[in-house]
Amino acid sequence: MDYEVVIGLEIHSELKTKSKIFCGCKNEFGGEPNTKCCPICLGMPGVLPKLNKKALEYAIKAGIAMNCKISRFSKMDRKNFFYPDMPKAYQISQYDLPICYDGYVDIEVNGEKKRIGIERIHLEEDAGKLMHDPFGQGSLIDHNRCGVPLIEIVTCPDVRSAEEARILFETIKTILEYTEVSDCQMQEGSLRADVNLSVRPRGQKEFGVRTEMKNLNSLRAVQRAAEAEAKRQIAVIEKGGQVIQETRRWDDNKGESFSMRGKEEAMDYRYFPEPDLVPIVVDDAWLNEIKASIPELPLSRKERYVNELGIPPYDAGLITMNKKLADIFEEAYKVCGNPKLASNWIMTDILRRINEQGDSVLDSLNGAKFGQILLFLEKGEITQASAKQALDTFLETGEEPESIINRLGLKVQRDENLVLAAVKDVIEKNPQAIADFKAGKTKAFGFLMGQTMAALKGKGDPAQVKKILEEQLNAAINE
Amino acid sequence: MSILNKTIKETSELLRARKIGVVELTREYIKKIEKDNENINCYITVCEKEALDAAEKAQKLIDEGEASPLCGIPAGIKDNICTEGIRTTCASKMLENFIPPYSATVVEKLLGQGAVVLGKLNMDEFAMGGSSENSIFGPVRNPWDNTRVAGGSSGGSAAAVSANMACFTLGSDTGGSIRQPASFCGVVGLKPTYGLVSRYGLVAFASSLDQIGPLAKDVTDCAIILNAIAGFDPMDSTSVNKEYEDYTQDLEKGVQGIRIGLPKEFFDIGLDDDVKEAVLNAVRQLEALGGKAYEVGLPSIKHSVPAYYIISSSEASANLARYDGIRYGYRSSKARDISELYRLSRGEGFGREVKRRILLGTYALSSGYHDELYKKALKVRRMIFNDFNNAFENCDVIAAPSYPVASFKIGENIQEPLKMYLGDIYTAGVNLAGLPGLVVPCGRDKNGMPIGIQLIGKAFSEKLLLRVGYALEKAVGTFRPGEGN
Amino acid sequence: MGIDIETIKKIANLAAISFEENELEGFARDFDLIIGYMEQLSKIDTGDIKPMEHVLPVQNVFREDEDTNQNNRDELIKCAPVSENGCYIVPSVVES
Ligand SMILES: [Zn+2]
Repeated sequence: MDYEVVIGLEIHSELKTKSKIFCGCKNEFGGEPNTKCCPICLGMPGVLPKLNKKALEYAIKAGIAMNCKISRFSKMDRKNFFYPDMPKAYQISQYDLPICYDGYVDIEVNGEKKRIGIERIHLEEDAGKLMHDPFGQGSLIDHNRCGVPLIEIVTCPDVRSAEEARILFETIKTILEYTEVSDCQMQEGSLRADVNLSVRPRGQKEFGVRTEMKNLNSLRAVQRAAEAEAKRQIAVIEKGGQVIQETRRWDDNKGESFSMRGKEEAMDYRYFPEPDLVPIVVDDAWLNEIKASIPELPLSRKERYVNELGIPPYDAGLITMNKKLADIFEEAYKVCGNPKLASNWIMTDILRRINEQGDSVLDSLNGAKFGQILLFLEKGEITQASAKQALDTFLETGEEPESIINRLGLKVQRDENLVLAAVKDVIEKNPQAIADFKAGKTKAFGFLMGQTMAALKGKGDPAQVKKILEEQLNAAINE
Repeated sequence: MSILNKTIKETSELLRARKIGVVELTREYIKKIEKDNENINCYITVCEKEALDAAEKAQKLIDEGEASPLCGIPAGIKDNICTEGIRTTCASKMLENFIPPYSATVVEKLLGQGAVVLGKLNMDEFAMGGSSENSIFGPVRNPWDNTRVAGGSSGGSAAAVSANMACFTLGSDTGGSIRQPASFCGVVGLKPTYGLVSRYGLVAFASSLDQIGPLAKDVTDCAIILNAIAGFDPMDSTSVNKEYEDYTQDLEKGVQGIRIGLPKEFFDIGLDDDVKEAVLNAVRQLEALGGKAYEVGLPSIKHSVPAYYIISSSEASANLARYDGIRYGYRSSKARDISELYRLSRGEGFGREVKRRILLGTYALSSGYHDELYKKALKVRRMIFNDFNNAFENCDVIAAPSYPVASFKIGENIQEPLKMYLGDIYTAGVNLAGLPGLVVPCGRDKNGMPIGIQLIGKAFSEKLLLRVGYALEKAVGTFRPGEGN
Repeated sequence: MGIDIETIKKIANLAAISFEENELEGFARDFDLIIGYMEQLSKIDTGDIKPMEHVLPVQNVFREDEDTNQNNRDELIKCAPVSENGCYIVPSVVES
């Protein structure tokens, strides 16, 4: 039988505020355990939370960027459950009035645009971390992450394949990066996704029984977990069995998921409005202020690159997927004046560097300086090879491109006398090649050309060299 | 007359006139506590050293001409209000050894004024109860009759003032916990408007109802303390940012033309005759002074007890979930896994009444009952709020009993939780509506136990309440145990 | 409605509170009485009255995004009944 996979994502993203959501503790990854804590984020008796305005604004910003409606009246609620890294034994979250709701994001699957609904985005606090105690039998609790502001983005079950799930996750990640509300460091857990998945015979209207896989922290894991879970569920059904509604844990190393049955048994969160915090009212002025702070988003950028700058859609898509890369492109092409040149360099040279060295290479790549190097190339003042060499040096030293080019003497050699001398020298030293050329062997011209460029240490202007070499060869033949 | 009998105002004048020093005064109080606490049991912790240190500092301020009216005045603090470096137990095994590394905003304010904190006062565990019998430190005894309760949950705070074991005290009031013990012990107690006094550092029972307030020997003292503790606190999102008011001003303005509302529902049934007579007599006194009494209606107030217990217990079930034996507080030594750590630490650390409330709240919030109990209670809360608003269209203050009876015998009601709950009928609605309530002694019952009248005002009308209370106090006098009132 | 021992056990489990077996019966009896009384709420006609979460007409109380706290770990962890090297300890929590 042919099955259809139905997927929805719940994405948790930490917000990159300076301080935590309800207290003045530093919001920063890592550090010695429990050193970024105070009585408030440790949930000590008698203390009270106070909402960080920036955290709320970031949540609204993310919501606007995902085309959500923004609740004009909203509130925080308590979600009650016991867990050792949750000090109050309730999480301050949002229940029936999330700050953002009814939005969508557009994703691109095989060149086709597809719209995925965003059910809601709500604001809440993160929990701490449990570690195994290397010296004892227990677990250790580090509360540094307790109270870090978090948004939970809940998508509609509009996703129909594991690949779409990955693309959706990546698209949302890109939006969060563009709006600068999260640094999306997945290896640090600041962005993680839960995959809700069910299968149904194609054509069936009702959804199948769904399972939830929690805390997937890479694009690859989302795709692989979704693929494996779809396969597992189909196998269960084919064998005449029934899928059980449950939470499963994905083991990325083993490539399989395991039931967490029993753990989530009869969860009754007993939500109720947080009496320690007052209602949130968002008026037009505030909303407009936040709207104005949102930069151009990836899809719109991509369309602009394609339609206005003539960049191939594939290239534009790849460049805009990464905000840093897109910003570098934008600056570089403005400086060098040739968008295609800039995008070609990014698609070949820069992507190769990212593959070899990782994303961090972009941190040392200043778009304007990169553009200056491309401008030298564009004006024919340096060659392709020299441009590469200049970029290597720039990434290593951060030196001004012009100074690099001067210091290394990378400028094209255009002095006619020097070129002529080099050409004459080559002709003199290679009588056999001249003879071959006279005999009509065109290959010999390429060899002589190469010899001349080598004599000019690669800095000759190929067109000029070619012209002079042709002249001299013709003269030699006519002799 | 002993220095210990004196009010804040009188004591402050003596200190300023150098008739007595702060250290000497503090020692007098400590001596009194040492002598009587075994009997009254109003103190859980006495901090002699800290008090004497504070006394020395206060003396310096007085010598330098410091003007604060609370400077050098010995005070007691209910043991659910955090005091940095001094254990704060909530009268619970759960927090028996908890020494907070921070102070409540109100404590900071008192210390900032130069007040001398003598110690921490006994109460019902986590402020849950109306008799101060639910305490691991044993019941507080009423200074008027040691076989009777001091009321609760701020029983220690009321008894300490009544027995001259502190010049004034702070209590907390969630459903009547300042007003009822004030009535039982014959002292003045004020539950301020919700949001007037910061809750930061008050160990939460029911966050939307809790307020800290003063218990004092007379209305003037009450106003002096309110001046010190009221006001906006950036640490408490529910504290109101409003202009400073001097609550001691206008006390003597009288009650000419003040409209006093008498809710007919409060004087119907279930009210002890002595209490009824004392309260109505007080109203007649106010009328004699120029006030005008009107009957008003509070049709939904009859539902205030169930609404109060559902809301307060629901909030408490979450507020008390943090006591899990991990970061502070009692931890069971028998736990073999994480689930046992929670269950046993909480099972062994909480007393019976606290467990009852947590279970009631958990039940009311659980799926299936959330709408018909918790949500319904929130709707009833608005009905009661509206009732008060309507009543205040026709009156300026409402006069009411504080409790159906005067103080009862220790052990008399402890086995009957529901009977205890029903006693909150006159006070809990005031918390649900967030209004201020002032209790002023107005008479005694057939057993000689004091009775206080409750004056309820519009939100933030403390000034008027104190003015009416002051007039009444002048008319009926103050009440002290052992004195022939 | 009738609150029995099983119901009490279920709620106690949700609230993470242990009970001695011999405590349960008395507790259930009291609880039954109390819930029976509280259930008068469900019979009240509240019409279209909205639930009242806050009595104060206050909204939008925020703090600015400033990091103001110092590391106070050693003092705070003193409150813990058990700790080790700056960490709080619980019996092993194994991800099953
Ligand atoms: Zn903190």
